Amino acid sequence: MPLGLPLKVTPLAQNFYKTIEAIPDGGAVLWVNDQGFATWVELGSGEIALYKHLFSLAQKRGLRLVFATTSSADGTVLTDRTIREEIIPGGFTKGLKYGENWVQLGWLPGWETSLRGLVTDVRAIARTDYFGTPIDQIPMMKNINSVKDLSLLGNSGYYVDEYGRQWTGLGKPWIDLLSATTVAMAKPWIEKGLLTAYLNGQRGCAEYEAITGYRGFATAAMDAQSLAHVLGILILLVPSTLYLVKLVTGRKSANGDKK
Amino acid sequence: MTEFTVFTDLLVAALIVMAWSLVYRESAAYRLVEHIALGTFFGFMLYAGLNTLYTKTIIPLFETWPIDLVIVTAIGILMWTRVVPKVQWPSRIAIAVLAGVSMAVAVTGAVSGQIIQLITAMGSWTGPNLKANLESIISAVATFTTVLFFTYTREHKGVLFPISRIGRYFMMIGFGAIMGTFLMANVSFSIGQIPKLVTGYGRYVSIVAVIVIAVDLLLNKRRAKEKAQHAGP
Repeated sequence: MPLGLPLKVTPLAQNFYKTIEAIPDGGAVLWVNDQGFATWVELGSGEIALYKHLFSLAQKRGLRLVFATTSSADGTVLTDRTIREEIIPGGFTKGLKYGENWVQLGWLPGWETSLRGLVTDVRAIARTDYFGTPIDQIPMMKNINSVKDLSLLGNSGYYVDEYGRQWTGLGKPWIDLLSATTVAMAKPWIEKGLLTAYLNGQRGCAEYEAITGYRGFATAAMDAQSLAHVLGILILLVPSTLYLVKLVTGRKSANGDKK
Repeated sequence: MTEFTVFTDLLVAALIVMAWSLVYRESAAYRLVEHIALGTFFGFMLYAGLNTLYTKTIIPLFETWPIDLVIVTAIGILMWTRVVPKVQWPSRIAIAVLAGVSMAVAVTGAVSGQIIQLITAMGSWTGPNLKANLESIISAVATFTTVLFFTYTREHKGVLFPISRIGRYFMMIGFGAIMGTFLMANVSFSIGQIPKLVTGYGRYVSIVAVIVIAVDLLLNKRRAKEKAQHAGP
Protein backbone atom coordinates (compact mmCIF):
# COMPACT_ATOMS: atom_id res chain seq x y z
CA MET A 1 0.00 0.00 0.00
CA PRO A 2 1.61 3.33 -1.00
CA LEU A 3 2.19 5.83 1.79
CA GLY A 4 1.93 8.71 -0.65
CA LEU A 5 4.84 10.63 0.80
CA PRO A 6 5.38 13.83 -1.21
CA LEU A 7 8.15 13.87 -3.81
CA LYS A 8 9.58 17.30 -4.48
CA VAL A 9 11.09 17.73 -7.93
CA THR A 10 14.47 19.38 -7.45
CA PRO A 11 16.02 21.94 -9.83
CA LEU A 12 18.65 19.29 -10.73
CA ALA A 13 16.04 16.98 -12.26
CA GLN A 14 14.32 19.93 -13.88
CA ASN A 15 17.60 21.01 -15.47
CA PHE A 16 18.17 17.46 -16.70
CA TYR A 17 14.77 17.51 -18.39
CA LYS A 18 15.22 21.03 -19.77
CA THR A 19 18.63 20.18 -21.23
CA ILE A 20 17.10 17.31 -23.20
CA GLU A 21 14.15 19.44 -24.28
CA ALA A 22 16.57 22.14 -25.46
CA ILE A 23 18.15 19.87 -28.09
CA PRO A 24 17.49 21.51 -31.48
CA ASP A 25 15.23 19.77 -33.99
CA GLY A 26 17.13 17.02 -35.78
CA GLY A 27 19.98 17.20 -33.27
CA ALA A 28 22.06 14.12 -32.49
CA VAL A 29 22.42 12.71 -28.97
CA LEU A 30 25.26 10.46 -27.85
CA TRP A 31 24.13 8.34 -24.89
CA VAL A 32 26.72 6.09 -23.26
CA ASN A 33 25.11 3.49 -21.02
CA ASP A 34 27.92 2.35 -18.74
CA GLN A 35 25.66 0.82 -16.14
CA GLY A 36 26.36 -2.58 -14.71
CA PHE A 37 23.71 -5.15 -13.91
CA ALA A 38 24.04 -4.16 -10.24
CA THR A 39 23.17 -0.49 -10.80
CA TRP A 40 20.18 -1.37 -12.96
CA VAL A 41 17.96 -1.84 -9.88
CA GLU A 42 18.82 1.73 -8.89
CA LEU A 43 18.96 3.50 -12.24
CA GLY A 44 17.19 1.19 -14.69
CA SER A 45 13.82 2.83 -14.24
CA GLY A 46 15.31 6.27 -14.96
CA GLU A 47 17.14 4.90 -17.99
CA ILE A 48 13.85 3.51 -19.37
CA ALA A 49 12.09 6.86 -18.80
CA LEU A 50 15.01 8.63 -20.49
CA TYR A 51 14.85 6.37 -23.57
CA LYS A 52 11.09 6.95 -23.77
CA HIS A 53 11.69 10.69 -23.59
CA LEU A 54 14.45 10.61 -26.23
CA PHE A 55 12.51 8.36 -28.62
CA SER A 56 9.37 10.50 -28.26
CA LEU A 57 11.48 13.55 -29.18
CA ALA A 58 12.87 11.59 -32.12
CA GLN A 59 9.28 11.03 -33.24
CA LYS A 60 8.22 14.65 -32.74
CA ARG A 61 11.35 16.60 -33.68
CA GLY A 62 13.56 14.22 -35.59
CA LEU A 63 16.25 13.74 -32.94
CA ARG A 64 18.93 11.20 -33.89
CA LEU A 65 20.08 8.87 -31.14
CA VAL A 66 23.42 7.11 -30.85
CA PHE A 67 23.77 4.53 -28.07
CA ALA A 68 27.09 3.07 -26.97
CA THR A 69 28.83 1.38 -24.04
CA THR A 70 32.48 1.90 -23.17
CA SER A 71 33.04 0.43 -19.70
CA SER A 72 31.77 -3.10 -19.03
CA ALA A 73 29.71 -4.98 -21.63
CA ASP A 74 26.64 -4.95 -19.37
CA GLY A 75 25.43 -1.59 -20.66
CA THR A 76 25.08 -2.85 -24.22
CA VAL A 77 22.81 -5.70 -23.16
CA LEU A 78 20.77 -3.37 -20.94
CA THR A 79 20.33 -0.84 -23.75
CA ASP A 80 19.34 -3.52 -26.24
CA ARG A 81 16.89 -5.09 -23.78
CA THR A 82 15.33 -1.72 -22.95
CA ILE A 83 14.78 -0.92 -26.61
CA ARG A 84 13.41 -4.39 -27.41
CA GLU A 85 11.23 -4.82 -24.32
CA GLU A 86 10.15 -1.28 -23.45
CA ILE A 87 10.62 1.12 -26.34
CA ILE A 88 9.48 -0.94 -29.35
CA PRO A 89 6.45 -2.58 -27.62
CA GLY A 90 5.54 0.82 -26.08
CA GLY A 91 5.13 2.33 -29.55
CA PHE A 92 8.03 4.76 -29.13
CA THR A 93 9.63 3.65 -32.40
CA LYS A 94 6.46 4.13 -34.47
CA GLY A 95 7.48 6.05 -37.57
CA LEU A 96 11.16 5.61 -36.74
CA LYS A 97 13.63 3.27 -38.34
CA TYR A 98 16.82 1.70 -37.00
CA GLY A 99 19.80 3.20 -38.78
CA GLU A 100 17.93 6.36 -39.72
CA ASN A 101 16.71 7.57 -36.33
CA TRP A 102 18.73 5.55 -33.85
CA VAL A 103 21.87 3.44 -33.84
CA GLN A 104 23.30 1.05 -31.27
CA LEU A 105 27.08 1.02 -31.51
CA GLY A 106 27.38 -1.67 -28.86
CA TRP A 107 30.33 -2.24 -26.56
CA LEU A 108 33.43 -0.27 -27.45
CA PRO A 109 36.01 -1.63 -24.97
CA GLY A 110 38.53 0.84 -23.62
CA TRP A 111 36.32 3.08 -21.52
CA GLU A 112 38.10 6.45 -21.35
CA THR A 113 39.96 5.87 -24.61
CA SER A 114 36.66 4.99 -26.29
CA LEU A 115 34.96 8.01 -24.72
CA ARG A 116 37.61 10.17 -26.35
CA GLY A 117 37.25 8.33 -29.65
CA LEU A 118 33.49 8.83 -29.68
CA VAL A 119 33.91 12.62 -29.68
CA THR A 120 36.95 12.83 -31.95
CA ASP A 121 36.41 10.17 -34.63
CA VAL A 122 33.53 7.73 -34.23
CA ARG A 123 34.59 5.65 -37.23
CA ALA A 124 38.02 5.00 -35.79
CA ILE A 125 36.62 3.07 -32.83
CA ALA A 126 33.26 1.84 -34.11
CA ARG A 127 33.63 0.38 -37.56
CA THR A 128 30.43 -1.60 -37.16
CA ASP A 129 27.32 -1.28 -35.03
CA TYR A 130 26.12 -3.70 -32.34
CA PHE A 131 24.71 -6.04 -35.01
CA GLY A 132 27.85 -6.08 -37.16
CA THR A 133 26.63 -3.69 -39.87
CA PRO A 134 29.50 -1.54 -41.18
CA ILE A 135 29.03 2.00 -39.92
CA ASP A 136 29.41 3.45 -43.45
CA GLN A 137 26.32 1.49 -44.48
CA ILE A 138 24.20 3.12 -41.75
CA PRO A 139 22.46 6.21 -43.23
CA MET A 140 22.22 8.14 -39.94
CA MET A 141 25.95 7.81 -39.23
CA LYS A 142 26.96 9.45 -42.53
CA ASN A 143 26.61 12.86 -40.90
CA ILE A 144 27.90 11.93 -37.48
CA ASN A 145 31.68 11.84 -37.21
CA SER A 146 32.68 13.69 -34.08
CA VAL A 147 31.48 15.99 -31.31
CA LYS A 148 30.79 18.82 -33.76
CA ASP A 149 27.92 16.73 -35.15
CA LEU A 150 26.40 16.08 -31.73
CA SER A 151 24.01 18.26 -29.74
CA LEU A 152 24.15 16.47 -26.41
CA LEU A 153 26.51 14.11 -24.59
CA GLY A 154 25.15 11.88 -21.86
CA ASN A 155 26.06 8.87 -19.79
CA SER A 156 24.73 6.67 -17.05
CA GLY A 157 26.48 4.61 -14.40
CA TYR A 158 28.80 4.88 -11.42
CA TYR A 159 31.48 7.29 -12.54
CA VAL A 160 31.84 10.98 -13.36
CA ASP A 161 35.51 11.94 -13.66
CA GLU A 162 36.25 9.76 -16.70
CA TYR A 163 33.47 11.43 -18.69
CA GLY A 164 34.33 14.90 -17.39
CA ARG A 165 37.96 14.46 -18.39
CA GLN A 166 37.05 13.59 -21.99
CA TRP A 167 33.85 15.51 -22.61
CA THR A 168 34.23 18.92 -20.98
CA GLY A 169 35.55 21.91 -22.86
CA LEU A 170 33.99 20.67 -26.10
CA GLY A 171 31.21 23.24 -26.08
CA LYS A 172 28.40 20.70 -25.79
CA PRO A 173 26.06 20.08 -22.86
CA TRP A 174 26.84 16.98 -20.81
CA ILE A 175 24.28 15.20 -18.62
CA ASP A 176 24.70 12.24 -16.28
CA LEU A 177 22.29 9.65 -14.90
CA LEU A 178 24.31 8.90 -11.83
CA SER A 179 24.26 6.33 -9.04
CA ALA A 180 23.75 8.00 -5.66
CA THR A 181 26.99 6.30 -4.59
CA THR A 182 29.09 8.75 -6.57
CA VAL A 183 26.96 11.89 -6.58
CA ALA A 184 29.50 13.58 -4.29
CA MET A 185 32.08 13.15 -7.08
CA ALA A 186 29.82 15.08 -9.46
CA LYS A 187 29.63 18.13 -7.22
CA PRO A 188 32.80 19.91 -8.43
CA TRP A 189 31.77 19.36 -12.05
CA ILE A 190 28.23 20.66 -11.61
CA GLU A 191 29.19 23.53 -9.29
CA LYS A 192 31.63 24.85 -11.88
CA GLY A 193 29.17 24.44 -14.74
CA LEU A 194 31.16 21.77 -16.55
CA LEU A 195 28.43 19.15 -16.01
CA THR A 196 25.12 20.57 -17.22
CA ALA A 197 22.78 18.39 -15.15
CA TYR A 198 22.53 15.04 -13.41
CA LEU A 199 19.96 12.77 -11.82
CA ASN A 200 20.74 11.74 -8.26
CA GLY A 201 20.24 7.97 -8.10
CA GLN A 202 16.83 6.39 -7.70
CA ARG A 203 15.44 9.57 -6.16
CA GLY A 204 16.50 11.57 -9.24
CA CYS A 205 14.98 8.90 -11.47
CA ALA A 206 11.66 9.21 -9.61
CA GLU A 207 11.73 12.99 -10.04
CA TYR A 208 12.48 12.61 -13.75
CA GLU A 209 9.65 10.09 -14.07
CA ALA A 210 7.34 12.63 -12.45
CA ILE A 211 8.39 15.36 -14.92
CA THR A 212 8.15 13.21 -18.03
CA GLY A 213 5.08 11.28 -16.90
CA TYR A 214 6.80 7.96 -17.70
CA ARG A 215 6.33 6.56 -14.21
CA GLY A 216 8.10 3.34 -13.34
CA PHE A 217 9.75 1.44 -10.54
CA ALA A 218 11.69 4.45 -9.15
CA THR A 219 8.43 6.22 -8.28
CA ALA A 220 7.10 3.05 -6.64
CA ALA A 221 10.31 2.63 -4.64
CA MET A 222 10.27 6.11 -3.12
CA ASP A 223 8.13 5.20 -0.07
CA ALA A 224 10.47 2.31 0.72
CA GLN A 225 13.47 4.62 0.18
CA SER A 226 12.08 7.23 2.57
CA LEU A 227 11.37 4.65 5.27
CA ALA A 228 14.81 3.07 4.80
CA HIS A 229 16.41 6.51 5.18
CA VAL A 230 14.51 7.12 8.43
CA LEU A 231 15.85 3.76 9.63
CA GLY A 232 19.35 4.74 8.45
CA ILE A 233 19.17 8.02 10.37
CA LEU A 234 17.95 6.20 13.50
CA ILE A 235 20.80 3.67 13.18
CA LEU A 236 23.25 6.58 13.10
CA LEU A 237 21.58 8.72 15.75
CA VAL A 238 20.63 6.20 18.45
CA PRO A 239 24.08 4.58 18.96
CA SER A 240 25.80 7.98 18.70
CA THR A 241 23.46 9.49 21.31
CA LEU A 242 23.89 6.48 23.61
CA TYR A 243 27.67 6.74 23.19
CA LEU A 244 27.61 10.46 24.05
CA VAL A 245 25.37 9.85 27.09
CA LYS A 246 27.70 7.09 28.25
CA LEU A 247 30.70 9.35 27.70
CA VAL A 248 29.18 12.25 29.67
CA THR A 249 27.84 10.10 32.54
CA GLY A 250 31.14 8.21 32.64
CA ARG A 251 33.07 11.46 33.02
CA LYS A 252 30.68 12.70 35.69
CA SER A 253 31.01 9.52 37.73
CA ALA A 254 34.80 9.62 37.27
CA ASN A 255 34.85 13.21 38.57
CA GLY A 256 32.61 12.11 41.49
CA ASP A 257 35.05 9.32 42.34
CA LYS A 258 37.92 11.80 42.37
CA LYS A 259 36.04 14.02 44.79
CA MET B 1 1.37 -17.01 -16.47
CA THR B 2 3.47 -19.58 -18.34
CA GLU B 3 5.48 -22.39 -16.76
CA PHE B 4 8.61 -20.53 -17.74
CA THR B 5 7.52 -17.40 -15.80
CA VAL B 6 6.78 -19.54 -12.74
CA PHE B 7 10.20 -21.16 -13.02
CA THR B 8 11.90 -17.74 -13.49
CA ASP B 9 10.07 -16.24 -10.48
CA LEU B 10 11.07 -19.16 -8.29
CA LEU B 11 14.66 -19.26 -9.53
CA VAL B 12 15.25 -15.51 -9.14
CA ALA B 13 13.71 -15.45 -5.65
CA ALA B 14 15.71 -18.52 -4.61
CA LEU B 15 18.98 -16.96 -5.84
CA ILE B 16 18.25 -13.69 -3.98
CA VAL B 17 17.41 -15.56 -0.76
CA MET B 18 20.55 -17.69 -1.11
CA ALA B 19 22.70 -14.58 -1.61
CA TRP B 20 21.11 -12.73 1.28
CA SER B 21 21.45 -15.77 3.54
CA LEU B 22 24.93 -14.40 4.31
CA VAL B 23 23.20 -11.85 6.57
CA TYR B 24 22.12 -14.82 8.74
CA ARG B 25 25.33 -16.83 8.38
CA GLU B 26 27.64 -18.22 5.74
CA SER B 27 26.25 -21.43 4.31
CA ALA B 28 26.54 -23.82 1.37
CA ALA B 29 23.58 -22.00 -0.22
CA TYR B 30 25.48 -18.70 -0.16
CA ARG B 31 28.66 -20.27 -1.52
CA LEU B 32 26.68 -21.94 -4.31
CA VAL B 33 25.06 -18.70 -5.42
CA GLU B 34 28.41 -16.92 -5.16
CA HIS B 35 29.92 -19.41 -7.62
CA ILE B 36 26.87 -19.24 -9.89
CA ALA B 37 27.08 -15.42 -9.97
CA LEU B 38 30.79 -15.41 -10.75
CA GLY B 39 30.49 -18.18 -13.33
CA THR B 40 27.56 -16.53 -15.06
CA PHE B 41 29.30 -13.17 -15.13
CA PHE B 42 32.51 -14.57 -16.59
CA GLY B 43 30.51 -16.60 -19.10
CA PHE B 44 28.68 -13.47 -20.13
CA MET B 45 31.91 -11.48 -20.41
CA LEU B 46 33.46 -14.22 -22.55
CA TYR B 47 30.45 -14.13 -24.87
CA ALA B 48 30.45 -10.32 -24.97
CA GLY B 49 34.17 -10.25 -25.67
CA LEU B 50 33.97 -12.79 -28.50
CA ASN B 51 30.90 -11.08 -29.96
CA THR B 52 32.66 -7.70 -29.91
CA LEU B 53 35.78 -9.23 -31.42
CA TYR B 54 33.66 -10.69 -34.22
CA THR B 55 31.54 -7.60 -34.99
CA LYS B 56 34.14 -4.90 -34.37
CA THR B 57 37.32 -6.56 -35.61
CA ILE B 58 36.84 -9.72 -37.67
CA ILE B 59 33.97 -8.45 -39.90
CA PRO B 60 35.69 -5.15 -40.87
CA LEU B 61 39.06 -6.88 -41.12
CA PHE B 62 37.91 -9.42 -43.69
CA GLU B 63 35.67 -6.98 -45.57
CA THR B 64 37.96 -4.01 -46.19
CA TRP B 65 41.38 -4.81 -44.64
CA PRO B 66 41.92 -1.31 -43.20
CA ILE B 67 45.64 -0.91 -42.51
CA ASP B 68 45.20 0.69 -39.07
CA LEU B 69 42.97 -2.17 -37.93
CA VAL B 70 45.47 -4.72 -39.27
CA ILE B 71 48.27 -3.08 -37.21
CA VAL B 72 46.13 -2.86 -34.06
CA THR B 73 45.00 -6.49 -34.45
CA ALA B 74 48.61 -7.61 -34.93
CA ILE B 75 49.60 -5.78 -31.72
CA GLY B 76 46.64 -7.39 -29.96
CA ILE B 77 47.73 -10.87 -31.10
CA LEU B 78 51.19 -10.19 -29.62
CA MET B 79 49.53 -10.10 -26.20
CA TRP B 80 48.84 -13.85 -26.53
CA THR B 81 52.54 -14.69 -26.66
CA ARG B 82 52.41 -14.56 -22.85
CA VAL B 83 50.83 -18.00 -22.99
CA VAL B 84 54.20 -19.47 -24.10
CA PRO B 85 56.82 -18.43 -21.50
CA LYS B 86 59.81 -18.87 -23.85
CA VAL B 87 58.53 -16.37 -26.43
CA GLN B 88 56.55 -14.04 -24.23
CA TRP B 89 58.71 -10.94 -24.76
CA PRO B 90 56.63 -9.53 -27.71
CA SER B 91 53.65 -9.25 -25.35
CA ARG B 92 55.49 -6.34 -23.72
CA ILE B 93 55.02 -4.36 -26.94
CA ALA B 94 51.26 -4.84 -26.75
CA ILE B 95 51.18 -3.95 -23.04
CA ALA B 96 53.36 -0.87 -23.65
CA VAL B 97 51.08 0.38 -26.44
CA LEU B 98 47.96 -0.24 -24.36
CA ALA B 99 49.37 1.42 -21.24
CA GLY B 100 50.89 4.30 -23.20
CA VAL B 101 47.71 5.16 -25.10
CA SER B 102 45.52 4.81 -21.99
CA MET B 103 47.85 6.99 -19.92
CA ALA B 104 48.08 9.62 -22.67
CA VAL B 105 44.30 9.86 -23.00
CA ALA B 106 43.71 9.91 -19.23
CA VAL B 107 46.48 12.39 -18.42
CA THR B 108 45.53 14.76 -21.25
CA GLY B 109 41.93 14.67 -20.06
CA ALA B 110 42.95 15.09 -16.42
CA VAL B 111 45.15 18.13 -17.07
CA SER B 112 42.57 19.96 -19.14
CA GLY B 113 39.37 18.70 -17.47
CA GLN B 114 40.24 18.22 -13.84
CA ILE B 115 42.96 20.81 -13.31
CA ILE B 116 42.84 23.70 -15.79
CA GLN B 117 39.08 23.83 -16.31
CA LEU B 118 38.25 23.42 -12.63
CA ILE B 119 40.75 26.11 -11.62
CA THR B 120 39.58 28.55 -14.29
CA ALA B 121 35.97 27.85 -13.36
CA MET B 122 36.68 28.55 -9.71
CA GLY B 123 36.02 32.23 -10.27
CA SER B 124 36.81 35.32 -8.27
CA TRP B 125 37.15 35.56 -4.50
CA THR B 126 36.02 39.18 -4.48
CA GLY B 127 33.10 39.22 -6.93
CA PRO B 128 29.60 40.60 -6.28
CA ASN B 129 28.19 37.14 -5.37
CA LEU B 130 29.14 36.59 -1.72
CA LYS B 131 28.07 32.92 -1.70
CA ALA B 132 30.24 32.18 -4.75
CA ASN B 133 33.17 34.03 -3.15
CA LEU B 134 32.80 32.01 0.04
CA GLU B 135 32.61 28.73 -1.92
CA SER B 136 35.77 29.61 -3.84
CA ILE B 137 37.62 30.46 -0.64
CA ILE B 138 36.46 27.25 1.09
CA SER B 139 37.46 25.19 -2.00
CA ALA B 140 40.92 26.75 -2.01
CA VAL B 141 41.41 26.29 1.75
CA ALA B 142 40.15 22.67 1.56
CA THR B 143 42.47 21.84 -1.33
CA PHE B 144 45.49 23.47 0.30
CA THR B 145 45.02 21.94 3.76
CA THR B 146 44.17 18.48 2.39
CA VAL B 147 47.28 18.44 0.22
CA LEU B 148 49.32 19.44 3.29
CA PHE B 149 47.80 16.52 5.24
CA PHE B 150 49.41 14.19 2.70
CA THR B 151 52.81 15.82 3.04
CA TYR B 152 54.97 13.10 4.55
CA THR B 153 58.37 14.67 3.98
CA ARG B 154 57.95 16.79 7.11
CA GLU B 155 56.67 15.78 10.51
CA HIS B 156 53.27 17.31 11.31
CA LYS B 157 54.56 19.57 14.08
CA GLY B 158 54.35 23.33 14.69
CA VAL B 159 52.32 25.26 12.08
CA LEU B 160 51.88 22.17 9.92
CA PHE B 161 49.94 20.34 12.66
CA PRO B 162 46.84 22.60 12.88
CA ILE B 163 46.78 23.19 9.12
CA SER B 164 46.90 19.49 8.25
CA ARG B 165 44.30 18.92 10.98
CA ILE B 166 41.93 21.27 9.12
CA GLY B 167 42.59 19.24 5.96
CA ARG B 168 41.66 16.11 7.87
CA TYR B 169 38.33 17.67 8.93
CA PHE B 170 37.57 18.61 5.31
CA MET B 171 38.23 15.01 4.29
CA MET B 172 35.98 13.75 7.10
CA ILE B 173 33.16 15.96 5.80
CA GLY B 174 33.79 14.76 2.24
CA PHE B 175 33.91 11.07 3.13
CA GLY B 176 30.83 11.48 5.34
CA ALA B 177 28.88 12.89 2.40
CA ILE B 178 30.10 10.04 0.19
CA MET B 179 29.09 7.47 2.82
CA GLY B 180 25.64 9.05 3.07
CA THR B 181 25.02 8.79 -0.65
CA PHE B 182 26.56 5.31 -0.63
CA LEU B 183 23.98 4.23 1.95
CA MET B 184 21.23 5.75 -0.20
CA ALA B 185 22.41 3.85 -3.28
CA ASN B 186 22.78 0.55 -1.45
CA VAL B 187 19.29 0.91 -0.02
CA SER B 188 18.09 1.23 -3.63
CA PHE B 189 19.86 -2.02 -4.55
CA SER B 190 18.01 -3.89 -1.79
CA ILE B 191 14.67 -2.22 -2.48
CA GLY B 192 15.00 -3.22 -6.12
CA GLN B 193 15.17 -6.91 -5.18
CA ILE B 194 12.49 -7.02 -2.48
CA PRO B 195 9.47 -7.02 -4.87
CA LYS B 196 10.77 -10.30 -6.30
CA LEU B 197 10.53 -11.84 -2.82
CA VAL B 198 7.10 -10.56 -1.82
CA THR B 199 5.14 -10.80 -5.08
CA GLY B 200 4.35 -13.61 -7.52
CA TYR B 201 5.75 -17.05 -6.84
CA GLY B 202 8.76 -15.50 -5.12
CA ARG B 203 6.73 -15.14 -1.92
CA TYR B 204 6.63 -18.94 -1.50
CA VAL B 205 10.42 -19.03 -1.63
CA SER B 206 10.51 -16.35 1.09
CA ILE B 207 8.15 -18.41 3.28
CA VAL B 208 10.35 -21.50 2.85
CA ALA B 209 13.45 -19.40 3.67
CA VAL B 210 11.86 -18.05 6.87
CA ILE B 211 10.88 -21.59 7.94
CA VAL B 212 14.40 -22.93 7.22
CA ILE B 213 16.00 -20.13 9.27
CA ALA B 214 13.51 -20.64 12.13
CA VAL B 215 14.19 -24.40 12.22
CA ASP B 216 17.95 -23.76 12.11
CA LEU B 217 17.67 -21.30 15.00
CA LEU B 218 15.70 -23.80 17.08
CA LEU B 219 18.13 -26.63 16.32
CA ASN B 220 21.09 -24.43 17.19
CA LYS B 221 19.47 -23.46 20.46
CA ARG B 222 18.79 -27.11 21.31
CA ARG B 223 22.35 -28.10 20.40
CA ALA B 224 23.75 -25.33 22.58
CA LYS B 225 21.56 -26.46 25.47
CA GLU B 226 22.65 -30.09 25.09
CA LYS B 227 26.28 -29.02 24.92
CA ALA B 228 25.87 -27.03 28.11
CA GLN B 229 24.26 -30.02 29.86
CA HIS B 230 27.07 -32.38 28.74
CA ALA B 231 29.67 -29.91 29.91
CA GLY B 232 28.20 -30.21 33.39
CA PRO B 233 28.18 -27.67 36.23
